[in-house]
This record gives sequence, C-alpha cells and structure tokens, in this order.
Amino acid sequence: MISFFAILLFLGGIWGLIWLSRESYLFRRRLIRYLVVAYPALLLLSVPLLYLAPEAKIDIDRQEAVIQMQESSSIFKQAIQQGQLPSDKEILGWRQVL
Amino acid sequence: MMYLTEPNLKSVVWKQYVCKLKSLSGIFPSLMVVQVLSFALSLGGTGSSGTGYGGVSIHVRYFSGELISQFTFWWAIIVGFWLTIKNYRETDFFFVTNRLASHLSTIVLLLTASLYAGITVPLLGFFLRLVVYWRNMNVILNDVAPSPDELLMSLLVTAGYAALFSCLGYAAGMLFQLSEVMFSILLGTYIGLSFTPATSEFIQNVHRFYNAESSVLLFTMKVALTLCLVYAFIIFLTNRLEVRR
Repeated sequence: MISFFAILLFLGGIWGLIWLSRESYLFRRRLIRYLVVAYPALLLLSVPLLYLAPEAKIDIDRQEAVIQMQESSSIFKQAIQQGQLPSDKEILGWRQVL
Repeated sequence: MMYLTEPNLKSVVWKQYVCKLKSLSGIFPSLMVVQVLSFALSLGGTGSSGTGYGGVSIHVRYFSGELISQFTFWWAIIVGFWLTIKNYRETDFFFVTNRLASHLSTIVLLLTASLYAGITVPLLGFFLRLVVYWRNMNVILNDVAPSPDELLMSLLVTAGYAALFSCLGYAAGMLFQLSEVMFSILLGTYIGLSFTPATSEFIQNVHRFYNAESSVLLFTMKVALTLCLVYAFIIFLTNRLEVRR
C-alpha cells in the first residue's frame, strides 16, 4: 500500500516539475528559473537509473566471503569475551575462505 | 463604505509570497551549492571501520547521505534567520499589509523551501548511491535501488526536519530582532542546560521526541504541531510591534 502511494508520489513529482516549469516566471532571473527546475529533474533521473543497475554487478563470491568473515569475526569476539581464543585450525579455515 | 478593491488576508499573503519568491529566489541556488558541496564531501565516504587478525584485515567504508542532510538543515536554520533581517522585513511595507500577513507569507516561503529541500535531499542521496555504485566496480551493494517506501519516507522526514529547522531559525531571528538580550539569555540557557549533567537528559529527551519516532505519520504530526505552536507564538509576540522597528 505504501509502495502504491510512493509510486503515486513519484508521478506527482513529475507533475510538480511540469507545473514548476510552467510557473517558473515566479523566479526573477532566467538562470535561477532553469536551475530550480533542472536540478530536481536531473536528480529524479537517478531513481530509474538505480533500478536499471544490473544485478550482475553484485559480486556473489565476494559477498559470500564477507558474510563468512563477519561470522568468523563474531565467533572470534565471542571467544575473546569467554577467554578462549580460536584454534589455529579455525583461523586457517578462515584464511582458506578468503 | 465601499472601495474599488477589497483586499483580504488571503490575497495579500499570496501577493507577498509571490513577491518574496521573486526577490528572494537566491535561497534556491544557495541550497544547490550547499548540497553539491556536501555531495562532493560524501564521495570520499562518511565513515569507516576496520578490524584485523593475523594476515586478515577487514576495512569497511560507509557511504551515506547523512552529510547532505546535515548541511541542508544548517542551510534551513540560516535561511530562517536570514529572512528576519530588517532589510527583508521592511520590504513588506511597500504593500498594504500587517504583521500577520507578513509573517504568513514568510512562513509559506519557508515551507516551500523546506519542501524543495525535502525533495532534493533524498534524490541526491540516491544519486550518491548511483555514483558510488559505478565508481567502485568491485563494491558490494545488496540493495542498490531504493524501495518506493524508502523514497516516500525520506521525502516526508527530510521535509519535516527542514521545516522544523527553518522554523527554529526564524523564531531565533525574530527573538533576536525583538530583544538581543532575551535571545542571548535563551541561547545561553539552552547551551548551559545541554552541558549540565542534571538537565542534559531533559534536553536529550526533547531531541528524542522527534528523532526517536519510528512512525512517519506520528513524526509528521509532531512536526506540524510544533510548527503551528512556534509560529503562533512568534506571531503573537510580534503582532503588536510598531510598523517599522
């Protein structure tokens, strides 16, 4: 439901820009007039471009490695808190993952 | 008695608003400059952390639009304060006007500027994501595209905060115009209370009233209520001032 409102808002933003370009006589100087309309219009373009970003760019292998590193790090922290350092075998295991 | 033209508050406020938008349109390019500057600063990352053990080291760099928001909120405070400067206030009296109409037109202008800031800040944040995404080819990003909910919430929250900060700047400016001594006492009291251990918690609770709110609807209501109260107080306080002070 919120997504529906957000899409409506996005469309409303485009409508607002069109309205702003028509009512831009409210701004005194021509440069300011163009800037006020062009600036949000250019920024608005980045939203669909973000959606078009290919999923392939997300490096799955590296992502896995980072998740494992985070897990290893939390195990390591827990071990230190409990006064037990991880074994060399475990540490070697992490290095092999990386 | 009959007049050729019957001015009413609504038309006077609208005419003043249009005039102020024309004559003070410089506030919009100034916002853009502030945002572009903060955007450039954000490109290097807004924070980092690192950890290491043996031959393994992890370095994490954070990118966020936080800096853009902070710069914009400072801009909102300055704009609010700036509009209370004598030269700008006195231009209102070229029109048939009173204090109420003058305040209302300035408030509408501040709300327009806040809305504009509320639209541009999240959009610039998304643009930052896009730039970071294409600049760092090996960067790992799970959610590149913002969800529509995120867009909607960012817009409402940023506009709300910008309106709140510009209101704060306007209130501070009006108090300063009214009595420099009173303004100094209030500012000093606020800073003093913030740094005194006994009262700092109270000040933090006041801040939490806004920034710890998880519901956007409640946050919007809180902001609207605060704006109404503060602006009403300022109008009440300065309504009986002589025409030019």
